[in-house]
Amino acid sequence: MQNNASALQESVRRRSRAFSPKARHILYKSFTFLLVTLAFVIFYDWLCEGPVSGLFAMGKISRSVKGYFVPVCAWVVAAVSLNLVVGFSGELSLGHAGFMSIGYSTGIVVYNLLTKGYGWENIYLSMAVTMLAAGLMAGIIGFLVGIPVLRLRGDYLAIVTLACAEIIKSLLQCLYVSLDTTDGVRLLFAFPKNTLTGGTALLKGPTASAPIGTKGTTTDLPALYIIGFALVILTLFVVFNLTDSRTGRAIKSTRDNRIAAESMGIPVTRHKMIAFVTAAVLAGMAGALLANKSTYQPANFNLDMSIMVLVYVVLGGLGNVLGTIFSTTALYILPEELRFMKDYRMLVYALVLIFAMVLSNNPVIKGWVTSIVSLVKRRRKSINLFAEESRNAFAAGDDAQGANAREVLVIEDAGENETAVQPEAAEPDSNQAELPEEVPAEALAAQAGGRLTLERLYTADGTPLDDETQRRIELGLMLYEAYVDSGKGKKKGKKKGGGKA
Amino acid sequence: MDIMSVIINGLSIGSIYAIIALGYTMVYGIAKMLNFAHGDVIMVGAYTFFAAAHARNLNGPGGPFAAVLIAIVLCALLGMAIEFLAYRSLRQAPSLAVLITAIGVSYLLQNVMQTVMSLDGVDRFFKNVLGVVISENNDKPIFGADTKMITDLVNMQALDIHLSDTLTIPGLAIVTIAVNMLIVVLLSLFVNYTKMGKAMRSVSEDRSAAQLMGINVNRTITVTFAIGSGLAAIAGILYCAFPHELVPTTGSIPGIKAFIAAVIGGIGSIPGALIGGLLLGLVEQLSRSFLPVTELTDAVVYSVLIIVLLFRPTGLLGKKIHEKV
Amino acid sequence: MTERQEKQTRHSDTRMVPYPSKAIVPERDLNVAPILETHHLGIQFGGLKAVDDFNLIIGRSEIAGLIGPNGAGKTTVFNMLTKVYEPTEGSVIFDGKDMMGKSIVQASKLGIARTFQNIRLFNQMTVEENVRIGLHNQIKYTTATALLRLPNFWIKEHRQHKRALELLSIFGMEGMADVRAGSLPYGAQRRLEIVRALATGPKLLLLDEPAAGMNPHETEELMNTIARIRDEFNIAILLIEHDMSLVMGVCEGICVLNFGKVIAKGTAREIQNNPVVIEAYLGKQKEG
Repeated sequence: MQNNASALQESVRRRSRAFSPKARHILYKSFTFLLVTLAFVIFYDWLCEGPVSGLFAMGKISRSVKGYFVPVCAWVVAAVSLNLVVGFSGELSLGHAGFMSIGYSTGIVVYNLLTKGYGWENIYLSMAVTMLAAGLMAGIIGFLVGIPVLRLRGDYLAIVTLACAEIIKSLLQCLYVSLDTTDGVRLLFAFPKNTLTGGTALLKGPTASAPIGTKGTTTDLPALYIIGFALVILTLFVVFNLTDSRTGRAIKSTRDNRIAAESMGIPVTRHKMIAFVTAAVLAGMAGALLANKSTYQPANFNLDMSIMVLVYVVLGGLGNVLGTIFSTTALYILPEELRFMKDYRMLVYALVLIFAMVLSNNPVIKGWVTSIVSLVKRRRKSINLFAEESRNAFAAGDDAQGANAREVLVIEDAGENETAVQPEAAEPDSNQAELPEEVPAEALAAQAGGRLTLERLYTADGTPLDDETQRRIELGLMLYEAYVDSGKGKKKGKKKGGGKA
Repeated sequence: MDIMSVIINGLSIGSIYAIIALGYTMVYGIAKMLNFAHGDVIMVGAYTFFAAAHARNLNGPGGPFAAVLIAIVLCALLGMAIEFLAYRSLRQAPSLAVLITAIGVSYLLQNVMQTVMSLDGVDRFFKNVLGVVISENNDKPIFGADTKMITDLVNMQALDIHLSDTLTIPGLAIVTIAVNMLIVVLLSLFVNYTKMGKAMRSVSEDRSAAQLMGINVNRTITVTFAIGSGLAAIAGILYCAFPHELVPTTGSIPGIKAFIAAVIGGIGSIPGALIGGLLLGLVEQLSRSFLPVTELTDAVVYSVLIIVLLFRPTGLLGKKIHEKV
Repeated sequence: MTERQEKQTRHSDTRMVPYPSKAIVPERDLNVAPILETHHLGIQFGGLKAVDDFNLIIGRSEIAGLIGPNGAGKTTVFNMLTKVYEPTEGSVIFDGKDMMGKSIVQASKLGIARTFQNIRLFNQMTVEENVRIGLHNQIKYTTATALLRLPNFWIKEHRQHKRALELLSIFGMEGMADVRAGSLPYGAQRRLEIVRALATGPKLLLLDEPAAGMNPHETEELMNTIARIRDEFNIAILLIEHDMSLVMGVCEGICVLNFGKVIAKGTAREIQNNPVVIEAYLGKQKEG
């Protein structure tokens, strides 16, 4: 009997580990990469009028959508990098546009320097160096900004990031850069007034800068697609590898509980700085990518833009990279496609935003969602927990047989002894000591507020359980878990001191 | 430009920032949220004043004062409505969610105003439904998507003080500074000596304890929003009289600046909002006069914030936050 | 007994240390330097002196207890030892080093670990991740290694995983390694905090009310576990506790605090019969 019990225990545990949280996470990351790659392949193919796009009936979509891919790449990178700061590091940054602005300006200067100045012809090489330079510059500024900013707390940090972005905007509005190719290649700088004469103006102070390359022509576009895709993949690599590592855990700990993290020997400011600077570098590279597609004035990289990216992040889910990709794409494309609504576009956007926030944070609605989710989700961990709890309960008395027997009692002899588990778990409104056998499973489900699903269970002699018994066991386990969680569990003694978790 | 006029201008605009900052600081102190939409309430107040001042058959002997009152009352109601509809259900939510909602409200206000002003026949609506005629002196319609100016409505030149041949203190500046001082004094008296004021102070210290003491937290927060928004209306009128153009986005920039001012002074502190506002206004006007390029003004103004926070992490008059370990 | 003495002498100072007569240090630790010494330690908040003239010596493998009524300043002492607060007077010598001016992070790296009165877990992270935070300074690799996923990353991650599970098995919690810490029942959260603190490889473990919310059965288990931890890890433990059965059952030396001042120090038996201590907890006995 005991051998069978432990074998059963093992088999239940083994099967329930099929999709352990670790495996699920790896699946999540792979899916993200696959999705991005797939999107690239489809769009690139469509752009080059290749065979694949026909399969997806891309012809039905308006041609203007082709112009979305590269900006969406840039905004996705901006949003995912902001998620690093807001979602993983737990700090609100209202100045992300500032780093994009630096990347943008640096990108323009460096790209023109390389192509018009030094005559580089390979767009991939030029853009690679440009983006590296842009990222580096943004990273340096990010580091300098981080020094005063990251020692502040909460709201103050947010306000100072806002202030820093405004300062950057203000300074860039006074910066004039032009390229002089008459006598060797030189970059001419002027600040704060435009005292430059001659040469090609690159950064023109408060007015829009010169674009990179030949904006918008299709000869450049396929290359840009590839570059955009490469940047997104790079971002995914960096963010995933950083957050799933020792450093990433340290960063997440500073978000969850600052003092506890410090007490564990983790330098909080340093780790917040790592997240902040990494995000700045990626945002700078995104800015450089944007320089290919649009002409912006420094004034465009303002609080409104920072907020736009923040909204992408919040609606995609803090700490959720895949979600951010979805939300950014949707929120970028929708306003463009809803142009017919023109005047009311922003109005609708604002209303949607308010509703989304209010509905997702309303406790009543949260309750509904939780019960729906638990109907669908498989709560495998609760099986293990149950096993451990009951084992611990008997371990002190070294009642190994008792532990196993108790577990087997619930799983195997479902029909007869299931009620031994249920009575103590009864909710206050049920006055019965034992639930009658004929209570249908659905009523129990309603009482417990959800469902738990297990792999098909087997009796000791190898026959699978029938549906009804299987369901009753699942519900029994779930009620037991709720009972343990509610604190009315096996603790027979009085509770002292402390509160509930 | 004479340094005295610059200083007067600085104190003048600083007073306006201070009045707006009071709204931010009160709401943050009591409801613990950053009301991003506050700046846009300013804009609504200015528009309301504009419309009310042009209401031909409503103007009694009070002249524009009636319009001011209407603007204040309307904005107070607007503030209460926003709190009830958007913020109340988010009391327990993480502050990021509240911030995003506030941003949504801000965009909403801007866009609603934009829509209303560009819709055809708004003046007919007012005339036929509300019985109010709103138009220019010569019956020209005033609604429309163009920028508005209210300088002719708020003409205070009669109050100018001529100190010398070159120096005149504009009447508007005097009124602005005086109004600001009056507001701060009245508000301080209100907060320190009235029952509602005490309720506001206790809710800002410890909301649950205040509830347990029988204080109606909902009512307290509603009053806070009402006061803050009413003050915003006054600030909006004064701001546009400075002069500034009146468009749906007019409120954003003074909103941000006033917010920064509130933080400089110590958010949650009423005298802090005053000091922060005046300081910011002075720095802004001084930089604008003495810097080679006006675009650099913003850089200086925002740097002040960073410098202050470096030395006083919770603002000049802010309270130190102690986390229990 | 000899084996333990050997363990002690292996990694600590063996010179004869004269202990002041008031120090309560177990015999086996008398020949080695104490792990912690505080001299006239005190802290003042504005006008209030939260802790005054606190003197304590803890032996290298001692289990010591710090008790007293609520508000006596016990957690404040912990905060001073872990450098969350900087004392306004007196000094702390930990493992022979003066702790003046050190930061929280430095204190942790020197070998002080603690749990918190109000549980401070990393709620959004799993149980195993919480323990691995404790291992942050024990099993290391650089960020660059992580970004490039070099072989050292995989080796160290696996090592951390194994060590984390090892540590969790002290309390039998290795099965819930992937559970989100915030969703654990209260007792499990308290135990996780202890495991996380142990993961930092400390020389002195500070436990702030470890038995809060536990029934007598669990408290007894905890008592055995604490003794086991001390034996296996060879560390000193200082507990704050209100549950007298735990304190009297497992502590070798007890220090009683009231209103920030030490009112008694001694072994369990001495403390139990000390009238000053009884008065502090129960109030003065009625005359007649």
